[in-house]
Amino acid sequence: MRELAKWLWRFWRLHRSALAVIIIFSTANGAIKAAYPYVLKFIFDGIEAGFKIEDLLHYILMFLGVGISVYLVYMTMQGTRAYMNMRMEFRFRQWIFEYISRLSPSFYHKYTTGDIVTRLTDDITEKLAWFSCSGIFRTLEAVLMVVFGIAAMLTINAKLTLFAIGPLPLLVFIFIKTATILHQRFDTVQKAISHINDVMESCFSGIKVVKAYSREGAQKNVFSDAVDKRKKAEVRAVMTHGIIDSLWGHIWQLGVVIVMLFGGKMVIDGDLTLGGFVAFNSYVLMLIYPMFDIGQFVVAGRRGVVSVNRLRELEKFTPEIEEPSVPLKFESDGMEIEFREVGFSYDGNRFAVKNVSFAAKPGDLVALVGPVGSGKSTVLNMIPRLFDPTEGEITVNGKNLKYLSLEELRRAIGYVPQEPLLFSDTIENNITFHREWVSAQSIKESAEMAQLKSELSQFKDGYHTRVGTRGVNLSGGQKQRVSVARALAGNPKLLLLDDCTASLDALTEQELWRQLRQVMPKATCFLISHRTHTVRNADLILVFDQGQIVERGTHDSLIELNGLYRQLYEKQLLAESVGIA
Amino acid sequence: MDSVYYEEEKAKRISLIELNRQLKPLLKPYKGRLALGFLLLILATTATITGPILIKRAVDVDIKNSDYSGLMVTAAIYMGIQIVFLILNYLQRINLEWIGQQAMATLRKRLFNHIVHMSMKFFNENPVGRLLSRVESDTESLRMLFTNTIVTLLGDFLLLVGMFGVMAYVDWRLTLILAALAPVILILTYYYQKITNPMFLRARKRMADIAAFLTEYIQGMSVVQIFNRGEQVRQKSYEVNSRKFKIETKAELMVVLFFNTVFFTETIAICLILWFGGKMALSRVITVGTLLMFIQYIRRFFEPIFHLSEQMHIIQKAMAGSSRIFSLLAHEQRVKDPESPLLVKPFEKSIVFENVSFAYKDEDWVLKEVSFELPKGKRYALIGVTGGGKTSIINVLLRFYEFQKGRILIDGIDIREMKLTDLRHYFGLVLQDIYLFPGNILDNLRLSDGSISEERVKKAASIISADKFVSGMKDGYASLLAERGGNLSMGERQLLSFARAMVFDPEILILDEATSSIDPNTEEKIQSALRRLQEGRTSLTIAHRLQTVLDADQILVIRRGEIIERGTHQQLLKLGGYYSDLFKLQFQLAKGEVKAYA
Repeated sequence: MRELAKWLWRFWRLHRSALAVIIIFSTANGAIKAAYPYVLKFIFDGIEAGFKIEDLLHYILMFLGVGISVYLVYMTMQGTRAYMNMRMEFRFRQWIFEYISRLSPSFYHKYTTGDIVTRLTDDITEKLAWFSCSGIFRTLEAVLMVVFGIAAMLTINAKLTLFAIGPLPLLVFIFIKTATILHQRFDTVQKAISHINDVMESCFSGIKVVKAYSREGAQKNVFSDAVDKRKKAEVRAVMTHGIIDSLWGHIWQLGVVIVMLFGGKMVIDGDLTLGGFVAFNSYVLMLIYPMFDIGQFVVAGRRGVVSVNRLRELEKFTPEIEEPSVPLKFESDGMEIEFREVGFSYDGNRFAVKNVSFAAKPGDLVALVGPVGSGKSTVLNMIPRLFDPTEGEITVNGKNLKYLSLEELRRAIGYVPQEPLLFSDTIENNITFHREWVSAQSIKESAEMAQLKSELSQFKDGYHTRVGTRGVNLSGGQKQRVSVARALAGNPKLLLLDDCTASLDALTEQELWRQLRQVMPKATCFLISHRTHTVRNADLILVFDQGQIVERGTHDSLIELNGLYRQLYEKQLLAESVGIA
Repeated sequence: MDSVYYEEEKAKRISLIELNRQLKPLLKPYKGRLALGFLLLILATTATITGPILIKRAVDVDIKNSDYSGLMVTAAIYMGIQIVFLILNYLQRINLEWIGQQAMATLRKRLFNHIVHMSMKFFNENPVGRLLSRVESDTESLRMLFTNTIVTLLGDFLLLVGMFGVMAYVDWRLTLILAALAPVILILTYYYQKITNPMFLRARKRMADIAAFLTEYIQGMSVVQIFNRGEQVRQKSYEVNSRKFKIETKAELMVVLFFNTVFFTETIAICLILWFGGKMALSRVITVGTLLMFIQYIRRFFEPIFHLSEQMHIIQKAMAGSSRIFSLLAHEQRVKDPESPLLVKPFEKSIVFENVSFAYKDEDWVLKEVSFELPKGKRYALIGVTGGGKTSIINVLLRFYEFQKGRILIDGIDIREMKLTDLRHYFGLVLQDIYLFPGNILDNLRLSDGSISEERVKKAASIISADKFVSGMKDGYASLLAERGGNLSMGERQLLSFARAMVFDPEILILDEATSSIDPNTEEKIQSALRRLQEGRTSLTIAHRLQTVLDADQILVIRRGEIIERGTHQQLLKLGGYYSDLFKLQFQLAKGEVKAYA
């Protein structure tokens, strides 16, 4: 709990005035509300004693006054709480997102996108936000209510107060205890529901197999069983939940009976006025609901702690790449890249790449080939400093990558990932991708180079066509072209292409390369590809296997070598001809 | 996740009448229990109403007459009634939950059974996530409507009627005053709904936007970082985040305003009762107890209003959900069995494709007058470009899809004249992915068919050489498979899918070979397993392995829906066409004659 409080304080301190309002008004609320039954006492005593109508009016106006005060005070307080709930939700989400946006691929490898998104939505909205403000301050409100209420009751009759509040602590205790049982019961329900989803998911995904072997009947039985299991679990859960719920809903009646019996006797004996009896009747009600809130706090608090921990777990990762304190600039127009004995390992044991050394001059096309998982993408991703090598160094124009201005470095890079990775926005904005220096001219030119122009004419909104959610769905090939255009639009001095032309047909790809070489003769290009005709034209081919460069050279020299490259090349050629690839 | 939100937007409106019509048959079997539930509800409500009446008695009779023993009796009765109420309420709740769960279980089974028989086209058009949402979340919101909303609203209604009845009986004048306030409350509630409902709907949309934004940018974070657009993306996230905050805060503040105003109305009601009632009590027209009773009723009076506002959300979700459920149930999209199916016999002669043409959509032909004959015991291979039609041949052969022209015959019988189960019984399908189901390996290999013995499964597995690694696992055949078999290697999964086919011992084998490359070691194991699987069986393979093609009795070369060449490997070489060009190349390469490739 303390950790939870420390974490929350980070955000609360930004809203000290709102918190102050809540606390002050909660206190005022408690005091004023405790006055209600008091006024009732006066009224009923007065009616019993037969006071004048003016007096009655006087007290009723007092009651009304209390009512108006409560209206204003409570509304202010509750409104501030509601505002704070929302604000906290906003802040949690904003903070965490900004934090993780600076983290390296090692983080993104560990957590699936779905998992991260759930933590940023469900955990925050459903569990944490309400608790972080209302959860805590409603409890404060409840405690203040109880304090002021009991204080008021004591002034009327101490003995009856003791009787009336006797069962209260017991209630809170029972609530907390039963909450654990509830949690277990619900666990079985959750598991039963997960099982149902599993059955459905696998059946529908593998429906072809199900149909091919005519196993629909068996699937229906399995599903039926799962549903029945869940039904039983739910009913059992309600049987437990129902007892606790019912108890909770009516435990206050016990208080009423106590007041009726003991308070009534006191009135008969003359130790208590009728008005006092009425007042106690009201106080009992006033005290019970806060008990719920206090109990809820403990239960919700536990869930809140779980959610906070899920968020803090993300904070355990630290950003690995930063702007160097004194960034160097790189001078010339072109970029010469050199890898010197570069190695990378995620955890210190297994290495993804090792002993990688090569040099590329401006205007060079370097192709990285090799089987799946041989380290090609790792090498490529180190160039824009997505992560740094654990061994060796990478230099640009002779200067170590780590000391260069990150901003400048990345500005000079055009990157085309394996998967297009576009965003829900217009095509134009996807190409510009938040770079103010990309001119409309650049957009047009790069779109043309990427062979996008002919595709765009199909859409009536052209460049302003919105893609993604609430937009059109581009075909794989179209997405690839936009992705390429995006890379080219920034006028890159360094082009990184990660196996991205899979969706483009051979003709389009050839055209793309032709134009590229023409327009950007000085750009250094790194390419991961399997396409035979693309790789053939490279100035340098690096053949990777299990994280190391096993062969290198031009296409012709590598064919003569008669090694791994030749094997891969011929296989690929064969496959392409037959149409298997 | 965001798709669920988007579908909420597009959901067709279902009227309450329509909803009622659909729910009625669902609830019909439980008429008795429902009646019981209603009775319990009435009794429980009555118990609730008696509370203030007993207090009135305590004040007016027992205390007034200093009758302590009378007071004790009243208190005991009060306690007794509350206990009875507790029990009644509990029973009522269990009863209702049982009905609700039972009805939903029936509905869920119905939905599943309906879906599982739909055609492949349906599954292509409906992502699994959407189907899961129908069967699980939509039915759940319907259940909540039933077990929460209906009983709450009904109970509240009975309570209000009861309270008003008692109050009117005791003093009609004060009751009238309260009744005058009712319209005020109703108007307030109406405007509250009208203003906040669209706000909350917009807030939910903004939430969906946030989920979509986060999903996209987290998935694409490497792109963002490489282009160094982190700052800009953070700014964008701020905007997306803010939009939800703004609209939802507005909505929540409206809620605060509304509820507090209603509370205040309660205060005003109490003041009015205290004034008029107080005057009457002073002139001894009514008793003090009556006054107290009225005040207690007023407090209970306002609860239903809060309940109603809370329930609106549930009602909306349920309506949207049930509209989707019932339109799904009304949707028919399946390949049907013929009315009088012909009897089938064991496979004897051949499978014949006779001028088969097929299009998934309209006249977009993916198969154009395809004809061939696959005799029993032969191994045929299908080869061609992606999208050329190979998978479609399998799809129409197994009647996953209906072809439009031509015929497909097995031993001379048109496959459309057979029962689907009989047709599919001929075949064993081995796909690229194994498709695992919840359960252990044994159940996966025999697809939960209890009639297949464990020995038979083990025997099949050992023929395929899968037995070794399965027995080597901690729980052997009883090992539970992790989600989608994540704990198995690619090669192991392939062997299991062969083993499964082996278990079912089909007469005809249909294989869709994997395209991804595996290490040569595993490749060797798979080759030999394949050989054993195919021994003595007729097979049709979509080939991605050169070896398959070389071993085939006949190769069918498909291009753009047509078979352009056919024959054995040798024959095709001699043909000197598309296929032979390819292998000439290989032959020359192997010999070391390197040529420039066009």
